[in-house]
Amino acid sequence: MRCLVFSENDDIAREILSGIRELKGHDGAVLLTYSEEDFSGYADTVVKSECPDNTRIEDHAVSAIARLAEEENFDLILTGSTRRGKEIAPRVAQRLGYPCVTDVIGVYMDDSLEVERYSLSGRTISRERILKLPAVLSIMPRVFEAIPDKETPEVIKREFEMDDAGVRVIEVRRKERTGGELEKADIVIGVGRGIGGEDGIKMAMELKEVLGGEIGSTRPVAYDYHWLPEETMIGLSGKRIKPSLYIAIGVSGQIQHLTGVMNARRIVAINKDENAPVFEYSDYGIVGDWRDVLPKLITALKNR
Amino acid sequence: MHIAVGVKQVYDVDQIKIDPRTLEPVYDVPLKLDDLSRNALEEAIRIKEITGGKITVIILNGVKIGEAVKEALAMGGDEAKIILSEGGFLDTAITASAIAEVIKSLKDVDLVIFGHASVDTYTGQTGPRVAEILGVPVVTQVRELRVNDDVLTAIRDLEDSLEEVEIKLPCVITVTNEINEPRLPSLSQILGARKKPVEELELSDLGIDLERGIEILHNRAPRVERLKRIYRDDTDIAAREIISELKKEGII
Repeated sequence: MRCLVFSENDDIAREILSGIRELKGHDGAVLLTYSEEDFSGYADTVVKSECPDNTRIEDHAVSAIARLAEEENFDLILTGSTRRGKEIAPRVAQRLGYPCVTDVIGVYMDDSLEVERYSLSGRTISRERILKLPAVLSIMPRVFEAIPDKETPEVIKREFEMDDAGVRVIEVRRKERTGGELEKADIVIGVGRGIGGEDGIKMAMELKEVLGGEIGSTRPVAYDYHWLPEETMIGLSGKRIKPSLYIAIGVSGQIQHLTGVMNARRIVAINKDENAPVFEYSDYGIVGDWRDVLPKLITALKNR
Repeated sequence: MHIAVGVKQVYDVDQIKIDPRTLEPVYDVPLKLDDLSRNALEEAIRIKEITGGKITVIILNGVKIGEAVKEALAMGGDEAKIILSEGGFLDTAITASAIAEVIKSLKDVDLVIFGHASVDTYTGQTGPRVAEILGVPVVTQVRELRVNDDVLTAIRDLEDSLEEVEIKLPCVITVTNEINEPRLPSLSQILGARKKPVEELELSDLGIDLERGIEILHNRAPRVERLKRIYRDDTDIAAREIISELKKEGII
């Protein structure tokens, strides 16, 4: 099992490279990257390339991966399931005539290759068998843990010729940020529509400060009301997190949001509607108004 | 401008119940036009309002197609091509090949728009694959789109950034929820939709490779193993006990 790995996100690249080591018949991996990192301990070969100005990473990576796959027989091509990665994976698959599964959350190799992914907006997990190799998979963040091994990679610098992709990058603007990295936080406070506005956000922030975590949000809070920056959105189309503790405040519990926190070790929910679906997915729940509950939690925490 | 919009008919995911014994979804819920398909169609209608032209709606489904096509035509599609299959799971390679065949047969399509994914399977593969088959540029995750002659300007929504790009026509675009607010058709539009041309095509007549690369083994809800200790009365006790439990567990 020889693998070619690409992600524009170095953390996800390391996670994938670590995870595939455990697959039956693993026979090393080639990493394609635009990064300056050396990836020692993760791949036997690192192909470093540069994405020209005004060229989208997607267009360059598709050409580069297709070229590498023509030169060497890979059994599996893996990308990160970021928004860029989710465009790259099916394009590579179509170009090479391979099957493709996106948003993979589990990879199992026995007599055949099987994968798991969420389906029905995260309500179910679909187990799928890949009927022919080679294949392309896009792997969700944090499916595997990045653990270095002994590999000392051979580093190859390469340029790839590409046809005119027909797309030109004009500008990339960074979105507004709240501070820390949500995906790496051990404690995350998530706020939903029930937080009501600025006052609620302020109190949620206070709880965040006392606990030393990060703040996350649901789609309405980030995209409809703009109470928090868009990059705080957790869920199916946002970030997927794996903290020790997730505290959901005023979150009703739509599955599209909960999918993003399913892997939290403990979930605490505060909601005034005792029938809110979020309680079905919680370890601890408080039926009550956050205006009443949050000050009490903050006091209890300060006295702990 | 001739715009093709690939739409999907899906089960209402929010209404699907899970069988508590088998953990499998029970599909006795209504079918509807997928949310992101509506966004794709709405964007096509807005472009047509500026440039003029025609919108062809393309839909593929194994199950009975009814309301979704009517709704797409009522919203503003000018004609529909329905690809009929015998049912069962089709992998994205087959779906994309079928839609691409129909687009090719239309001959003069300038722009193809899809939702960036569908709420049921969420693979996000169809748009990118169709672009590769047609050999045209593709830009995914578009949340703002402007048309100037034969160049599109798009703003893409990536996780931590917004990427502004120019794309040459013909091309494929996939859109996000934020790009627009899909319109609700009026009664006269709903009635008018009945007169619009609808052509049915058999998947097996399209001359594409129908060999699957993927098979679904099962599709089940994960068991949710949570403590579910819900405090309904005294919030003082609740706050104290929960903090104390979390402390005991070494979480805080």
